[in-house]
Amino acid sequence: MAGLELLSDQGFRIDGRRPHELRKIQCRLGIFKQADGSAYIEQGNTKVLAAVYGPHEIRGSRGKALHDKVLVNCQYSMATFSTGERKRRPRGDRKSQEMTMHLKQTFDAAIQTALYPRSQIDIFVEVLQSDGGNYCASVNAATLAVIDAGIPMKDYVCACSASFVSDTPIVDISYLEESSGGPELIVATLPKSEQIVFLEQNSRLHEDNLSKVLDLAVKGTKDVHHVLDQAVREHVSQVSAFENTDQS
Amino acid sequence: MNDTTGLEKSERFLRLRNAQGKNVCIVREVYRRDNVPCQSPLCLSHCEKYNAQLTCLPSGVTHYLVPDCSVAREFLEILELPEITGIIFTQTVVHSVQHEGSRRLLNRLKNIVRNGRKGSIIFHNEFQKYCNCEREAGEPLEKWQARSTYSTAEWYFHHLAAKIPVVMLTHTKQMKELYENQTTNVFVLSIEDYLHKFWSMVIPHILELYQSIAHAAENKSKDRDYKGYYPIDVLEAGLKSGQFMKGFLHVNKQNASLEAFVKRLRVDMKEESQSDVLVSGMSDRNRSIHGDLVVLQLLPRSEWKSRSMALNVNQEESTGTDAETVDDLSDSMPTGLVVGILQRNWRDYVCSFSKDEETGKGDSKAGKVLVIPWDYRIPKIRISTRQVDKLRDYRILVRIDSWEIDSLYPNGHFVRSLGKIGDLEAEIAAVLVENSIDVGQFPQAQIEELPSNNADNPWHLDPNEVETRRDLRNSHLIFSIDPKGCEDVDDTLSVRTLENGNTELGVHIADVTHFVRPGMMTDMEARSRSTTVYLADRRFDMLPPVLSSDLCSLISAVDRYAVSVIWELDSAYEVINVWYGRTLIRSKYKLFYELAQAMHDGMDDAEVVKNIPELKNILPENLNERISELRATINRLMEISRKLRHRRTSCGALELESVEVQVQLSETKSIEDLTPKEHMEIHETIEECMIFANHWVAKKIAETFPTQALLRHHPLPKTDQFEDLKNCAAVQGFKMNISSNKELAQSLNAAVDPNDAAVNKILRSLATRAMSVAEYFSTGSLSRDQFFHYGLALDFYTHFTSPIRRYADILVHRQLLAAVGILDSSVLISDKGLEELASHINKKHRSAQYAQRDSQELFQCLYFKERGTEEKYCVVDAIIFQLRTNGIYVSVPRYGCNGPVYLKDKNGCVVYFHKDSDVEWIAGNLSRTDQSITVNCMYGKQTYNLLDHITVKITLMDSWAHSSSLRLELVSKQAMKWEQTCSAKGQKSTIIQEVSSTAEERRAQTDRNELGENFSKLQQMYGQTASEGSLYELFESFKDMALCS
Repeated sequence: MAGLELLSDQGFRIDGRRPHELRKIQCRLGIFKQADGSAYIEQGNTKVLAAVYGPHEIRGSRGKALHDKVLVNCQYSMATFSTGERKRRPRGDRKSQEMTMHLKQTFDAAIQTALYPRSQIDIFVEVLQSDGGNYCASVNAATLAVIDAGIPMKDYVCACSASFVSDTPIVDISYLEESSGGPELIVATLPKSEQIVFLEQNSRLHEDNLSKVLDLAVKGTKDVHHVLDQAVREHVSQVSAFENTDQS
Repeated sequence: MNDTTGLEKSERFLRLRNAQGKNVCIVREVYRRDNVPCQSPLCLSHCEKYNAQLTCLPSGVTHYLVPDCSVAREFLEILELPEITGIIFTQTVVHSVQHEGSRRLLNRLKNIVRNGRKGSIIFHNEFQKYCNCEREAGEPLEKWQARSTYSTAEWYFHHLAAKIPVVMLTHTKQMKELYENQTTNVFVLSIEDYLHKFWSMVIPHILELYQSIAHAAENKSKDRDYKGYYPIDVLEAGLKSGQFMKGFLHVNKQNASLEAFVKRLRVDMKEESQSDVLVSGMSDRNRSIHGDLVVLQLLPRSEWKSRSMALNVNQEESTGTDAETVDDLSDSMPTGLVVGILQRNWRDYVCSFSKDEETGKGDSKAGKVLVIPWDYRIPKIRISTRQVDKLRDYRILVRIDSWEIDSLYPNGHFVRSLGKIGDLEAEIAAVLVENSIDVGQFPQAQIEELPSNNADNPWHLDPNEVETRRDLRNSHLIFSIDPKGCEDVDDTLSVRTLENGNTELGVHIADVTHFVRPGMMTDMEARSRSTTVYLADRRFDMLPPVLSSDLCSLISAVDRYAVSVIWELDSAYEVINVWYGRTLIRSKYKLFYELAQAMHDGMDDAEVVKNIPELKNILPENLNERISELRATINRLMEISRKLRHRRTSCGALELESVEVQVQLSETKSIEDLTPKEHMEIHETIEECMIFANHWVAKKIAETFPTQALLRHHPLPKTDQFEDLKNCAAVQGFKMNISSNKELAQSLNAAVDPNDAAVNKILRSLATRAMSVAEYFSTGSLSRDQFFHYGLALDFYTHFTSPIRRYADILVHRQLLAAVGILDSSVLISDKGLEELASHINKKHRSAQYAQRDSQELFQCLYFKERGTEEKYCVVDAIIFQLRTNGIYVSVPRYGCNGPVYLKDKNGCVVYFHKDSDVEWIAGNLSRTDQSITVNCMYGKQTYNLLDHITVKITLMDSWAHSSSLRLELVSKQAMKWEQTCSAKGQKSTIIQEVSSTAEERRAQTDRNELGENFSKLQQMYGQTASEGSLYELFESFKDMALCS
């Protein structure tokens, strides 16, 4: 890997993007019939499926029920074929557990939880192909699925990663850029109010540069929001057109 | 809004080997766009450059050049020629150079692109929608590369609306045939045809160069660099585990075939072995060359060897050097073996044919010749040339290509000839090449972008500019003091009393940044030169003459732009207030050191008028007033600087010593004399003001830009380097305390022998040798406790006062102006860029220093060559400062040079002086202690102590392949008898036989008359520390000192 230039003097990243450009995002809503809500998203080569069940009664032990708000239950897993080398354990390893926790925190903050006390919402996320920004794609997919399920949220939650390479912040980093050992900043926001729901940083970044990188990442989440919003509107108009024809 | 519009996503499959050695298939996405900027000024579709610092293709060329992969890999050297501009390197080519070539090659390619004068770019063809070619299944790599390159050439041609022809260079015949006639005006040429058609008229030697590279390339085997070394992953693992160590190979100049050392890089320092590691012999060196970054394996302790302590003569042909006996050796030291080379640092080498080389006679491989490099540390190089007869008497430039495992010598190729051996111009050219200094004419384009100032087209102040500047033309008495005849005046001074009784001191520096803006050709050129190079008889300017000696030079009686630092000082000269900013000044007087000093010492007015041209046309009634005003100002200035200096010295600033020699040339360029440079108090005054200004500017920029200010630091000296100094001092009973700079300064001041002023000088110069090198750095790259300047005893220091001569000062000017809000801070370079630039500037400064020293040595040799063996010049006094097993090192103050003197010759005879001072070489031996060396023979014993004066004779050792050197022979064990008595200034004045200025002589005279014969004693006790040496210049020359040991 030595000698790879993450950002050329001419301002191109390894995959031909400019520092501020996102990877291509493609998404679909409502892909499963059984689940209450579901979505599929591709961010570059990172592909994620999300399914949402609920709100429904608490399953399993009753003791988990919260009397004033809904219990958000998440599960993050990676398909064994999602990485370059086949994974042994699709879920339950440390990394997935951590991701699960993070997803739970994020959606706890974004869903209007007070509306459904003593009930439960399940969010299942499956990474089909992993190429950097797994968490971001998971959050974005889950947002779409929650919307598809019709669960009220404060706003979309959009996540985006950013890094800092040769004095330039770069947005939406790929696996190659992630694994080069540079800093990684992951942020999930409510784009309209620009509130940060979740922020994580890996490896060191100088304090002076933090705001630059954070600004770019937040801008990235807004761009993601724009794409997701369009997809949702398109999906809704399709569904409603379909239902209209159905009724007539 | 959506970022991804206009981008097309596709995928690329790669087969890679993972960490476990398995093959994995990896998919990477690639985004293609139609707006990859073409970076050409001819573009009609307004491609926007990504950032302003990127270079543009030139508009004034007849064609653009697109080399293909093999050309870029094998003939990069030709593309590096400064004449060839407008090269488009495609991304495909860059990748090929990176993966199939080497990292070094890639760096060279990048340097071409970064060098703004080359007008060359990297074009990301694989990200451009219309240039990209998908590699088809089963398509050979070379074919695909050629196809991509060609499609880029074609795209460029169409993109620029057929305005300029594009030439694609290839080395393979098939490609040439395939693409030759596809599009008109997109030419596909072989490199030989191209050079022949386009360049053979412009650069006469280019075809020879091509042939010698092509020849060298044929002989190259593919995996040459790796045979005989451990593979890179083994090396890296070994380095991590501490089994191996890495460092730069440093060959001992005196014993090139046997000894080389590796200075360890900081990481692998273990307490048990602090010293360098020895690499003994050529086979252990394993084909590494001086300067390479190598990986070493330590040998077991039982195989450790020791370095030779004997003096060694450099011989043209090194024969039988292993005749060393055990007593020549010091204690054994860690010894290692080169097991890998991380980085080759080959440069251009100056070589010559050995005198008795016979042309191709009996040599089956025709034209293979061994040439001898000028630098002793480099092994002989085998080149192939058919011009041996023609080039026999010439110095030539050679580059090394490879070193095969079964070969004794590296292979290289001939580049060009520098000139006849012995010819002054050729020797100077050799000095420049050996120090990697490239100074040509300034390109025309650069001259054109600068304002001109001549009779037809005089330069005027810009009224808008005048408004924004603080006008000091009428309010301040501004003057400059420089060496006599100085053309590039970059500093001026002013002192005045303010209304509230405080003093105002101003330092006004030429505003070079007004003329040299970032991105201009001049800026790039100045950056690559980094410093003006002063050789003994000439100088190579950093800025074109229109700036350096005219528009930026603060000469008297004209309006000039300046950047000023103005302090308000209270009665104790403590700073109350400081102002930085751009000003407009008119210097009133351009003085020289001797004159200013003389005025201070009371030169009478009539004499002053004679010496100051500015006073010629002044009415006599004003004259007295003007002179007394100037005199008062100078006195005031000296008073202030004494105070400032005292304050700094009491903090521990060091005063060190180095003897600099001035070559005095007569009109016909023959050498009149070599005189050590002289120092007067006024030198210190100016220095002190400059140090003061530098310090305050450093403070300001470091405060404002804590992560990207360019400062200069001077690290702590290495304590183990002080051994020589301690030994020498102990002989005279002085004790050196080296624990801090203050302690050291005090012990140096105390170490004065009233009878021998030279002692203190020698001690100071030994202390200088122990110093580490002062360097530029970016504040973001070092921790704060490393910012200090040891020698000057300051917490912040930078260079601000000579922007005409040093590029660092230009950068500091920009930073200062940004710090006070005049410039936009976006023009500043980021920390990483600045750190790279700082190391470039450091390197350039060092090589300028070396070149200066080499040229001085060259002139020393010429001087003695012309003088022959006349006693008057050649027999001189010398002082012993270092002992070796078979001789001593002496310093010759008269000429400011050092050298070895042998007490034992090659046959094992030692030197003995009889009573009537007859010399005899007889069998005997030498015994050595820390402080003395004793000659034992049948007549008795003779002892030489450190710091003894002896008399030596200087003779010239002429050399064919190397630089000539001086040889010192012992003439007498006694100090040389001087006809003149020791004068006031001790050693220094006695050795200066031609005092260049009459004023100075007068001063010495008056001093002596007043104080009588006790003057020298009194001077040492009560006098200013005047004659101790110029600090300012000295810290510049630390780099130089580091070499000597």
